[in-house]
Amino acid sequence: MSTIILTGASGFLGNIILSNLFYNSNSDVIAVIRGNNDSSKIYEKAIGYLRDTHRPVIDEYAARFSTIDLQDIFDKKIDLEQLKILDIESVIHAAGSVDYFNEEHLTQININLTSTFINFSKKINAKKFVYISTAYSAGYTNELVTESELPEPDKDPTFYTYSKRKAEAIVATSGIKFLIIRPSIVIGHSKYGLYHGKRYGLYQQWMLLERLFRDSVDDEWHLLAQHYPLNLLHVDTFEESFHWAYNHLPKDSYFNVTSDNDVLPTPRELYKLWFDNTLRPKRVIFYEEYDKLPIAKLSKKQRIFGGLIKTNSEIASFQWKFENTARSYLKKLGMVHVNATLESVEVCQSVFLKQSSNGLNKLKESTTTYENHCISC
Amino acid sequence: MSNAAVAVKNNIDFDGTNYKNLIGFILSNAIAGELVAVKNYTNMATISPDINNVIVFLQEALEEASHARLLQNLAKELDVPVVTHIVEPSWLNIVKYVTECAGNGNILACYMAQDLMLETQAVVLYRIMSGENSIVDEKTSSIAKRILQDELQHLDSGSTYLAKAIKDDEAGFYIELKKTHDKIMPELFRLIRNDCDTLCDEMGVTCGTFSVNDMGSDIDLMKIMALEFYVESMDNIGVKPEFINSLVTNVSGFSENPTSACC
Repeated sequence: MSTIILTGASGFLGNIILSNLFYNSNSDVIAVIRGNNDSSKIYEKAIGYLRDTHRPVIDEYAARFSTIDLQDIFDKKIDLEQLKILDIESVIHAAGSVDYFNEEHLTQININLTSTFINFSKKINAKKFVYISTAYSAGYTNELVTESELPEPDKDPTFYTYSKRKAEAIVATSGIKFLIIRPSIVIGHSKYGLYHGKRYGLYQQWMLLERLFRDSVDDEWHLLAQHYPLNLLHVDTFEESFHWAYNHLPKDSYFNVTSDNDVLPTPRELYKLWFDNTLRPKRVIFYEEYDKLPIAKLSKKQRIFGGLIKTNSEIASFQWKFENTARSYLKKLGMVHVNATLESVEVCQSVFLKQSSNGLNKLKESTTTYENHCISC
Repeated sequence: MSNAAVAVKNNIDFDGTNYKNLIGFILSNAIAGELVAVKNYTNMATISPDINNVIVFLQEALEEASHARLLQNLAKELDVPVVTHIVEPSWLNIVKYVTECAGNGNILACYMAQDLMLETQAVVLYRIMSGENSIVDEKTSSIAKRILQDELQHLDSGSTYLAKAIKDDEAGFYIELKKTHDKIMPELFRLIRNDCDTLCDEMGVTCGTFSVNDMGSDIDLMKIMALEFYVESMDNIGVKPEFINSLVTNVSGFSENPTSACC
């Protein structure tokens, strides 16, 4: 039996990968964890996801799961010869930082730690290195984001995308067979709506709307929101894509895991979906540029909301175009790809609101009018 | 309804291990915050050119020290595990920054760090410990309410100084505010968490086995409360809304806790 080493198993995507490896492979999985992370919680979370998605859980999974401490790798306390004997099928590197504004930490985790695991993989003769990157590692580019090594863009949305691109380059030039998976913004399950991740992206937006406006609702809103599609990806589509890519893509592949632009909702539609189901303010005005927002006139809460999601809103304001060759190839082999649509996002939003202590209770009888800010006015 | 009755209604067990460990964790951090404030006010006293301010700073330092003692006694009375010295790296980074500013004679940065940033966070902490958006025992609530009044006064006196400082040199004020915000606020937001770097080890409790949910609160809400009050305090000082938003936009540490971000 082969063994897979997985980093980031305590995180959202890493844990989904762990669930998938339990369910869809026979390999033993060694998760690299920080000393203060509880391995049983990581295991239970992965098993919980399988249960929540109505898949059988068998005792054998526990026997296939073990952990090693990240610090022991740094301190060279790991018995490399022992790992070599285990016949390491792959190292899947899903650990990462998304703290957009902490360059030191992004460098440490996304760049340096990737180097550490590449070196580690070489030492233990791992046959393959799988890196979980991001669809936005290309930075701001008007060109098609190809499934290949990326050129330097004119600009990056944040240091985060830069750090992920650098990590991809480290992996691609390492000499180890690799697979680089680039998911877009991962949201809940397309059918069940459940989401076990941290509050990033759309979930950060929902959480802020819910918590910030817990005790007051503004009648008039001014929001930065475009009418271009926002590339969301259901977690089940990510899982399916990972599984098929891992088992069927040739060596040294890149895979943009995204949804199709023509069915995706736009940020404006997403706000409408939220307001129509929750706060129902009297008037919402959408802006195309952050600088056009009348900041000084906004309520304190709207200012905080707009400020906190500014970077994500700006990223959402850009029209990325992604190559989908790998997806087409895998679909021909039998992979099922479920796009994110306004209807499927509504499933996720409904689950979020059901768990909310605020949103649904504030539902009013009023109707909201939506307007676009007139640029020339 | 009494705190105890509210707790029963919400399945909060004031005598449970999780609640006790959580309160011990919060008290340890609150004590660390008070000790940091003692150091900061003492530093500010040493560089203040105005003898009246020296006295005020030393009085404030004394008050913060007495808060630390109150909290220490509370921990003893509640019989919860507690650490009474500064452990977490974020607190040490804050002390280091303010000490450096004081060393450079930069009283404005010290005011910003201590009286605007640390005091706003202290106010939010004591509001939560008082029972605002949380469910806490009577003793904790009572002590927190007492300390809260002092912290509001410290914030008020700092705000008066800072409001004048904007008028005296607006451009210089904004440069200093951005610099201090970038150093201090990420550290403070990183401290609002359910886990730790080394504090749990020192407390002798298992990290991750308790959370603020054990007092009917949640981390997201706490961070939002902290940010809201920080913005409100800057509004009161007279900081331009556009400038405040530029600070809010790039606040590192708000959405993620770096030490838990990997593996």
